[in-house]
Amino acid sequence: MENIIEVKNLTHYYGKRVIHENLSFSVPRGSIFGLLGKNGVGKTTLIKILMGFLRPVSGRCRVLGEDSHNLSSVARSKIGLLFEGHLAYEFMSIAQIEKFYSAYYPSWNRDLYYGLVDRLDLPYDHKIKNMSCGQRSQVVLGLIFAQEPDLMILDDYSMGLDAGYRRLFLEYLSEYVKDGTKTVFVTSHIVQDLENLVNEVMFLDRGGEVLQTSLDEFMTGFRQFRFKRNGSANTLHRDDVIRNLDITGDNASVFSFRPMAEVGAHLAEMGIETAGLEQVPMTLEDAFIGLTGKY
Amino acid sequence: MLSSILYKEWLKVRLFWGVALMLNIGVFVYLFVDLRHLFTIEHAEMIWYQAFKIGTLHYAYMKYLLVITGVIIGAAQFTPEMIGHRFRLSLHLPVRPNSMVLCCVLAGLLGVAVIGMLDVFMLYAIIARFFPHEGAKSALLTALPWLFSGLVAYLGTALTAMEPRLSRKFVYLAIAGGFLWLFYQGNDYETYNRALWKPALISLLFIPSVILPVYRYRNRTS
Repeated sequence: MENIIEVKNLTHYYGKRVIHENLSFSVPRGSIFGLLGKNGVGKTTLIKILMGFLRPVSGRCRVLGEDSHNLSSVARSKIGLLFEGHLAYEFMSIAQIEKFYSAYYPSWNRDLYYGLVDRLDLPYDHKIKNMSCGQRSQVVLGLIFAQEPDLMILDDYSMGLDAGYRRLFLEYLSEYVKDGTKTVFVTSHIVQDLENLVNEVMFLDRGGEVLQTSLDEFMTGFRQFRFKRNGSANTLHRDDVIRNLDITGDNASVFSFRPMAEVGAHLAEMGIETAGLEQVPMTLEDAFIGLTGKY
Repeated sequence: MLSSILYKEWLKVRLFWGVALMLNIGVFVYLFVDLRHLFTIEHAEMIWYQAFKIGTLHYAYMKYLLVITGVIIGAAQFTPEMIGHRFRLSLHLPVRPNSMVLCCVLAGLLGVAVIGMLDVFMLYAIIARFFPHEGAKSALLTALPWLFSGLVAYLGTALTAMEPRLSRKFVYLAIAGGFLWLFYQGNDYETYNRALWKPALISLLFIPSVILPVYRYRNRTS
């Protein structure tokens, strides 16, 4: 399958701080790819590099078959890009910004834009700078949908949005991708929203550690096991089997990609009593925290 | 593309352009009132003597008017782009980044030039109201470098505003200040009659130089 985004051996530093080290991944056409990670792991940096706003220290990034740092006008016209914080030309009004952007995109869908914006019940001469964060997001997302792009890159679309706006956006996005030819590369702080949306995920961790997998594989392969805590639990530590651990109150939890029997045997080898060991069902958010830790 | 960018730039600067226009008109209204007052309280021969023997420039307070205009329009145009890195919005438009920025700069230059042309017209009309045609023509030739410096001030402001790195902004400010200095050598009539083309020609280099901060913006590593 054709890859819409291809990253090979990408390395980037801010000063001496490693942001990405030999990062390689690809995003196939038609996929909905979720980029997950805690604050400061380099999600926005990666998007800036993919869009040519930052030059990486080394490595190769290709978007729509072109070098991401030298994207042609044609390639950019096929990419709908949502900047973190729903950046927009705030001096424009609802109608003015639509008129401005429509001049650049041959398949501009005015109805899609006004379909979203009309829900705001604002006059078309209302200035974007006078809008709330949620209202502005509606306008910005409307502009991106109206472009009818082949690739949508959404940097934390959920920032500042209440549940209603998020739900509305997800409905539009589901509609947008349903024919299977459009590709979405998305980051969000609301991990739970992505559970019913993405089919591929990549977890970024500090220092450039990465896990890329399909959502199904991750949700079935990554497990949480809980048992009653006792004194021996204090010797729990991360290793090849135990990816992460969490001790809260009377309970201890370990997170692992291994099955329960193997984890139980491993804990016994470590001399840890595992009374009442059980597998606990997880949401994507639980699994995300299990993988990356709470803080 | 050009019309769309002109549309965006106009939406962005129209309020500030209007303020700058009012400022320019206000200064020329003051010039008119001032000259009328002068001719009321002084003998005409005395004013003639001041103007053409001593070399008093009665319109000297318009010296920095178009510089201020250029700075206002340049700042109004590019500061909003740089706040919160909104410049990325423009760079993501499906047009070549250099062409896009040159179009923005062209729009700003046009805004400054329109006010500059109006200044030329007002200066000529007011001076010709009180002095012979030769005096009004001489005023235009005297004020020409001041008017040209408005375009330089605009370009220097644009260059400084777009530069991503603070230390370089100071360098560009100093360069722009140096270019402006070239247009303010001498306080006499028609000082630049035979020399204006030289600083004017050198100042044209400012136009392609605005591509440099765009290149630097896109090639940042942090």
